[in-house]
Amino acid sequence: MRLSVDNINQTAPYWVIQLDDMTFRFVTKNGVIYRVGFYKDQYFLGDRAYHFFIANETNTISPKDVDVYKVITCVIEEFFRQDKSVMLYICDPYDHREAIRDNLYKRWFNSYPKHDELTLQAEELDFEGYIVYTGMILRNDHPEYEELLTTYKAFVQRAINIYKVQPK
Amino acid sequence: MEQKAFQQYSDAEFRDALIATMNLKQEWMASVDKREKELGLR
Repeated sequence: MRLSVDNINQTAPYWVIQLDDMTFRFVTKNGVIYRVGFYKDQYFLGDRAYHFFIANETNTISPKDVDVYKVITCVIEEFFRQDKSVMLYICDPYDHREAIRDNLYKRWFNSYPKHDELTLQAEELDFEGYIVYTGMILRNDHPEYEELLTTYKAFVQRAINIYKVQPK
Repeated sequence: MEQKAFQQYSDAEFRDALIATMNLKQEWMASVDKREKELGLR
């Protein structure tokens, strides 16, 4: 799959550069460099799903900038132009702000004007007190809609059942 | 090689796959860094 940076740049408030088929880079008015993109799932849903990632240059909290949200929306919207796109996310726990990130995904989804065309299945995996926030977003008209939701729920349930190692 | 469905994973394989999935962001970031260097952005 290759996403179109031309489509993204038609509405994105910052100029977006394409790094590879599904990864992009942009610089904000505050000089913060963001990378945003998708990476194929390798273990659970395979070719049918991509993990969504976003990172800034310093991996620190950046000044609040609504235009970053708008660019991310443009990128995700371009992703969902594809019929068979499934987006997965796992909230990065490196700075213990994973719950805030999870809330941002949910807020993005609920405020997205076309969210009634999509389904968000969000889960909290409690690994003996260590919470992992994860989610799957897919189009409501996805031809494997029911199967994918069932598969995702089965994955979550097995993860809950099986993951017994206490993370550091 | 056809990918094995996770339902067929052993418990150990499932756990390893879960940990690997948690580390995919680092893998993605490494590919981004490499690409930015190729494009002269770093």
